[in-house]
Amino acid sequence: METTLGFLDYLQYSVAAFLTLCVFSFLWRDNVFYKLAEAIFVGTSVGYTLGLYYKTLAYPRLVLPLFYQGKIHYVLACVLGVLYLTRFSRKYGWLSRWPMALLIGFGSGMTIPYAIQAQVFKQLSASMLPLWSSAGFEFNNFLIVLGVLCTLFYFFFSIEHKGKLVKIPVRIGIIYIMISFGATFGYTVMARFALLIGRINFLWYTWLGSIFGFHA
Amino acid sequence: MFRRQIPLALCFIMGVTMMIHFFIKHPFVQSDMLNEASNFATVIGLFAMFLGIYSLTRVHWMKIRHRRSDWFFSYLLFAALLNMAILGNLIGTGADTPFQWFYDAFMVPLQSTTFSLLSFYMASASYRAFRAKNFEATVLLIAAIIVMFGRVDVGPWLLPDTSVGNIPVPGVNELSNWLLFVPNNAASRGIFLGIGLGSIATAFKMILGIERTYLG
Amino acid sequence: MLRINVRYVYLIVFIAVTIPMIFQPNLPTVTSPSVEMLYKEIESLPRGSRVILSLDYDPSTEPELQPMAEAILRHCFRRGIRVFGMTMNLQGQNLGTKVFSKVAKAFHIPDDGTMYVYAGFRVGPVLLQMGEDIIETFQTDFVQRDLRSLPMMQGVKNLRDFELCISLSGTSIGYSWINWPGTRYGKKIALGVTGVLVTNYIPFLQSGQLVGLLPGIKGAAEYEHLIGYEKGRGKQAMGSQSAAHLLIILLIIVGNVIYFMGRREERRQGQ
Repeated sequence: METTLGFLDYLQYSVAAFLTLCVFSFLWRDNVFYKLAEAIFVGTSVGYTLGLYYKTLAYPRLVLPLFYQGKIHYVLACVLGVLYLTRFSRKYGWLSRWPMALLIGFGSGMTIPYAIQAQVFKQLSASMLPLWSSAGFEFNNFLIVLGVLCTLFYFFFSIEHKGKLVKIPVRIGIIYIMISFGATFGYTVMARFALLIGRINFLWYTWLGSIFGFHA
Repeated sequence: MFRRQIPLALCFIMGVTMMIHFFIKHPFVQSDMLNEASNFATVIGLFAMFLGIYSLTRVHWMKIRHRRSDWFFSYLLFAALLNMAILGNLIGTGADTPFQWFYDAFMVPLQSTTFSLLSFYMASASYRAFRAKNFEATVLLIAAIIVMFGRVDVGPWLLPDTSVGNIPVPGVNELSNWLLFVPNNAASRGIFLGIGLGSIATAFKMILGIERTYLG
Repeated sequence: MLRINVRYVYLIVFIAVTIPMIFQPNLPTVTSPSVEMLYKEIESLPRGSRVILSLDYDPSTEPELQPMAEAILRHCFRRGIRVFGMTMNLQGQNLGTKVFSKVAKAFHIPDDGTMYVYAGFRVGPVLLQMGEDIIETFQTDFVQRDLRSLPMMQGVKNLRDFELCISLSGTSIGYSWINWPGTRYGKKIALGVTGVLVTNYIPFLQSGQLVGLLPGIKGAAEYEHLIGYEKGRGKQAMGSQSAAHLLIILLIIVGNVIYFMGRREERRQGQ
């Protein structure tokens, strides 16, 4: 179903295309167009957060409970929040440590049980794979178990990596890590180019395509 | 006492409370207490947002006042900021609003294009910097090439699964899958176990007051 | 040769990406196990099930993740599965409303809260709060309608009323989905992530903590292929993606060949 585009849609695409080309101009060298795009980018990003601040952030979490649901104890949260702003004061800046300490405690306390359960226990149990089954020797499982052990060995810095007994698993661990980094690099290339392809798609099909009447 | 002991005590109390809540399945602890603690942390964070906005505003105001280089662009930054903030708060942030229009015209192209520049730098680095100087680097590059080739349509098309006589020969797609699910899986898991244990240890140190860098 | 002006390399990249974009070569798509797992999971859900689709991305990762969102939504709507949309990324809030309205229009689904609800962004530890009371956590949808008044949310209290949680993100928010809804509330979790993060989440796929993983733009293209949607942005990008990858491989090989030839020449001159 094709939608009819109005003047504002064409204007929007053209502005977006202009700003896209301004950012791409940085590949040639730093110039006034890039600086223009950069300033607008920073201003728009911060303004976006401010634009959503009251309705999306402050109202449901502070205004509604405090003024409409009668939760008076939220005044304490406001006081703690204001204490955060004392960070800019040389004399009273130490007061900002109180809300910061609460946030750090909250985050740390939440992290510990879930990290233990999801990241340590579950991952450890998933590493305990059968090396022999009714189908015979499970080579892939053996490689996984070997890889996990050798990788952990590599990161064990409490003893020196000397002697064959230590050096061999460390070397195997390095090879596994290099394969993992190589795979990550391969996928990173995909990710970065996907962004570029998205912009070229916009310039060609959305902007020029809407003006000259062609599509994918 | 107010500058160090009280923040440490607050961090400890909050941290222990959040850890303990994981083990107490009473509805009050799981629902009401968790909600209130979460909302308190959120409200403190709402005030913290103003710290960043104040810093940004101050830097650019000083730039304008002292006529430092590119001071004119700071005016543009403020204009973009105020534009989004006013539109969002006064008119609304819904689907067919001016706020959405400016979001699509300014923010989406600028943010996407800025990150898409990385693809060009990646291409230039591939040509000028990625060298198979030793065995480990060679393993990394080979793994990267296999994943890059196998994870796009052209790879499996050029090198599909085949067989030599009765011996199956995996294509590049199968090879890249194996690389990801066996050696990469093992190495990533080893790294994550290390990260998980490290984050647990750091969280404990923060709650117990051994790690005090957040106090400044 | 190694000291070539880097702008020539940029130009070659631009040409390599643009030409396939214009001519759209049609190469066959081979699907991977992690994508097929998510497809089968959604196929197995009965009609009328509820699914959470969290669009935890912003414009910087939109080209990779929005095609995934569109493909998953198309699949869900085709199967009559109801979708609760949300986001944990403030800057992506307005992206979500676009994809929901686009796909709903294609399936002639009205925005009356029957088949989908888009709640937008809420600040705070939302994943924990949703596990206890999702209505209290969000209260209204993106256009400020009370969630309690929407047909899809009747009888919904918390995460237990949803069969599957899918998060699409370019950040480490996936770990939070695995830790909290996945581990604490035992929900099935599937992720769609940018290419940079794929290798990090594969251990969770193998351990069974994830029921599916869409890896980057290729994952989007594969999912579009599985649902038979050939006009998706994922599929459109595959020609250019193939050319880009071949270019990078070529640049690496050529760069290394020139480097080693140069070193051999230096050694010969030194002798």
